[in-house]
Amino acid sequence: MLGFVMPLYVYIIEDLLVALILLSSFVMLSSRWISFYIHAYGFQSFLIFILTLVLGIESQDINLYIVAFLTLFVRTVIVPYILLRMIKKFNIKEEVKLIIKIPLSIISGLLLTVFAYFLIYRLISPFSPKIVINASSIALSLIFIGFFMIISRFTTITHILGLLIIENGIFLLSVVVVPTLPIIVELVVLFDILVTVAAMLILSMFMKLQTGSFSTTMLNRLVG
Amino acid sequence: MKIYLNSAIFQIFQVLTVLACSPFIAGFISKLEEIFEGKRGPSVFQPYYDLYKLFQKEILIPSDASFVFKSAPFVSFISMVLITLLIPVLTAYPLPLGFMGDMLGGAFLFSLSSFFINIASLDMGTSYGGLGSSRATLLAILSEPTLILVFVGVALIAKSTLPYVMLHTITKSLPLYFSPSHFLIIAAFFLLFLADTDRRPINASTHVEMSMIEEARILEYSGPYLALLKWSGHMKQFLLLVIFLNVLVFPWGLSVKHSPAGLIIAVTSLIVKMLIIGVIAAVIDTAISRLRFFRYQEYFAAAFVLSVLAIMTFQYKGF
Repeated sequence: MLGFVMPLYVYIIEDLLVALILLSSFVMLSSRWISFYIHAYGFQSFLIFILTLVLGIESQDINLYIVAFLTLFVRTVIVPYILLRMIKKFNIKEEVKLIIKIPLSIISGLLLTVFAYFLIYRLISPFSPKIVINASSIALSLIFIGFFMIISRFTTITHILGLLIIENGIFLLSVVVVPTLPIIVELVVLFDILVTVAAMLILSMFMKLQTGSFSTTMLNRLVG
Repeated sequence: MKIYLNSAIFQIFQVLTVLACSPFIAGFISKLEEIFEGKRGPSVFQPYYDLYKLFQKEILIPSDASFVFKSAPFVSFISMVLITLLIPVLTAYPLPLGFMGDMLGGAFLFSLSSFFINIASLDMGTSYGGLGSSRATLLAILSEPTLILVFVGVALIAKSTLPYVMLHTITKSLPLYFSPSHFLIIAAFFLLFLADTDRRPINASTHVEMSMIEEARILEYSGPYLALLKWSGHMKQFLLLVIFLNVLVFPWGLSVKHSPAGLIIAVTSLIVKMLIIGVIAAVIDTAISRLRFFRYQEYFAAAFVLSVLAIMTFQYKGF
């Protein structure tokens, strides 16, 4: 979006969409059930798809269309489908194990968001319009929240979802700051996601077969 | 001279509307909840019958009650009437007494009424009163930061804490109306509304239950005092809905100048808006189960997050 001037309604839609994206990551932080996480992730990716599509329509860029529909295909359909199927196959009904209680983790997410706003403001405020500051600080806070989810939850599936949220944040940052990125970069990121999800799933399946649980707290038993 | 008369008439009608319509909204919501549960439910005018019956009864005051016990219903009722004068119930322009206080003044009056009911319930030294007031105080402590941050958000958007200014700011600028900070403030205020009016994620809102909050505080009262407290409870719900609808969600349909037609349109549009929100509140009340007492923090943490994000997104909005 740097160097572009868009009509007012695009700004309004973009503001609303990024706020919803941030809220869906807070939904993930505040939920106890794994299937809820996956649906929230799918919803978040769907919002990112709409944002990319709107930017593509407005800037008449064929690359953005392709990226948008690949996002829809990979992030909104394939990845949640694989994860949900895995949950069904292993019949996981356990709650997410939390070391940090939900209110505290929501407030920590909030602090991380405020920190991301502060950081982005110090970094890019001299040369960018305010809308870019808003959207990119939300993208950065998605990255932080993803890290926080990996740290504070002890299930491999939530680890995968934390990684996916980080990916979503990076993708959002690239879309709102430089929408005219070469398409090869976006393709590499999407391929990266697929490979990550597949590898992590295989690893966690082995873990389930070996230790009988998806919880990573069991892993310290492997120490010889 | 005529304008003074007209504003006085509107001011009086403002109070009369709240006094007369607040039991109706409460009755409507409870009737709807019963219908959703598959029962026929009481008439929508049941709160009026209750109030009438209670006002007919004699006044019973326990022998060891102090003046707090006797004054609490009046303090509660009068503070609700005073809040009515401060907020835009019928008119989109401020009436003469609307400058007595801003939104913080309204919040102060709400907490004054709640405080008096709390100490009145502690006054008798019964166990239920202590339970109810301690729970209500915990809820007030948890919800207060969000309330203040909602006011900060409104003050940032409107550059004033008067509710009339907020109303004008968002009706004048449509981008501001559709900005995320406005919607986030609406969501945070709605969560506070559900918590403050005894609704489902927080309280079970039935009469005889161990987990009751509002009912436990007024368990000692009977007769006309109980009627006053119930009426002020209905008015509290009505006033919170008025702030929610006329200041935040849908500030159209209010009377813009002194005329009888404007008055009628304002009253009917207010009632229609209230009925729509009443349907939503009844759906939430039947669809959601009650939270455990020690999980209230999660609910209020969510409201807090919404209000802080409203402020953050307003700082860097793109228009």
